[in-house]
Amino acid sequence: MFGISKLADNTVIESLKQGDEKMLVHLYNAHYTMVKNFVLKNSGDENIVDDIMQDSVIAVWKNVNKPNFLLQAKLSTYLMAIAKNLWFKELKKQTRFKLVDEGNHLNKGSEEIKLNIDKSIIVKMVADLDETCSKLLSYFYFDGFNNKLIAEKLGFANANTVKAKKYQCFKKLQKKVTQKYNKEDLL
Amino acid sequence: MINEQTYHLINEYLNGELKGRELDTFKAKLKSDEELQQQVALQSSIIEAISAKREGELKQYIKQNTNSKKMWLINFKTILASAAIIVLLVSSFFIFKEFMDNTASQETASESEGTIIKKEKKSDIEDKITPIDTQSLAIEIPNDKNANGIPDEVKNENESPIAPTVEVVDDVAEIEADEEEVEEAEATDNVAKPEFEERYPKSKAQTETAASNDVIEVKSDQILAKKSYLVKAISPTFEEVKKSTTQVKDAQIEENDAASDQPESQIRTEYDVVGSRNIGVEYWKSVVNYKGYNYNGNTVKLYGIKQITSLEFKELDNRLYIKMGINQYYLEKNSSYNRLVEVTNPTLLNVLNE
Repeated sequence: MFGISKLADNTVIESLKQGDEKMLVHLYNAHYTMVKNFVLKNSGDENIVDDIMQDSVIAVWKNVNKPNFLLQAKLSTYLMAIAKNLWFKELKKQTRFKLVDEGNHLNKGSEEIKLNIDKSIIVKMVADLDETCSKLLSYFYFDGFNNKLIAEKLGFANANTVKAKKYQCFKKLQKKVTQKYNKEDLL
Repeated sequence: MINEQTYHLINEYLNGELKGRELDTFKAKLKSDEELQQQVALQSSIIEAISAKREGELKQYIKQNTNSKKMWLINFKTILASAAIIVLLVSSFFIFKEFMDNTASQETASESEGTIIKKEKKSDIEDKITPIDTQSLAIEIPNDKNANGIPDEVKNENESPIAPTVEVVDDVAEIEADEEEVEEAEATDNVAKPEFEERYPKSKAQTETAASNDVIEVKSDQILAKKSYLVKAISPTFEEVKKSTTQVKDAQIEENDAASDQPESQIRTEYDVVGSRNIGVEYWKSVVNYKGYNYNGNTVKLYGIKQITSLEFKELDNRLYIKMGINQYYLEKNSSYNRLVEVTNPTLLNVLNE
């Protein structure tokens, strides 16, 4: 529609798997009206549509790069399903906040240990990393790119180099974090 | 500081990639090893932060690349929609206009000549027509037909009310014709009307006539009203007689021959009413707005004359004069349509206006 050529699902998926960020924009534009209509029909407003849309597109982006991803429906159907789930989750969250207090959080931490660390400080530290490390860690942890793809994108020789480099980068980051916080604070 | 192997192991664990025995071993170790617990917590926190940062970046990227585009998209859509609406409005205006024009012309054809005149006609006739008029009208039928376009030769034959040859009127609307046929002692096969109908359902019949006339002959001349006037035939005598205005009179139609055949003597100043007869006057509206008259001896058809004009008839020397307003006009007896000729002879005017 209007300058955005209609691409076949396969093409889009392939591009997403190649880590082509332009596809995010394509997905966004191609499904915006659909998602917007849905959200508006279900007691949402236009402001939230952008958030839902961004989250949906990014979810698709991440999921496509998971090793066992298999698209069993049309891409638009898939994206729409994600958007619906996200919106219903959002609705539930809104109602839950009204009904129950945040006391929920007390019973939440099961066997996972939660660290008393301000996440935004670590985020800043990640940003302070050199670009390669920052990208490498992001690609690996968030985008879910495999080592081979990361090697391609960052110009490494092969996947093993990526693996080694990843450890170094992470170690660097962790050092910064632990330097900032004492061992006691982390417990 | 963790070693590389543990680091990757924790990654796999957090990623859900550890399976089976490896997972069990790791979990068991995690339970007992406090340092490992701490490392897992730290690593997952750092991963969370990395993800959060990356997510923010990607969202920013999407925002930057879609917002302007989206605005443009919305604008373009809005413009397109407005253009479509304008085109739709303009085109619908013209279509509607055309439609209205068609309807209007149909209305002028049917309604203005039909309904309106029909109403006028109906009320006039119902008010003014009398049982006697029925007969006079019946006699005048051939001329009605004439006005509707029958050639003069035919008309001449039909002119006399006593004419035994009655036209077989095919026109369903001509109920008067049926009545005539009844009067003419069932001269034709066409007679379908019972006798009594002639007396009573006149207004109804008229209505029907009007209605069906409108349907069948939309473009023909329209009769607006019929009246009966008393005509005084004056002839010079020595007695002075004051002429009175003739009135609309509900009188029986008389055989006119007696009145019109009255002999006149040549005396100058005084005039006597030597006889009177009834004459039918019909007001017609011509299709071409013709103004004039047609006089066949019994009926005067006036075209384009307003009904409110007061009429006065006098007959002198077997000639019929009509007074409309203050002017006297000479009515020539023939079968054609004539223009009104004003009487200018002062002597004659004196006699007529006396």
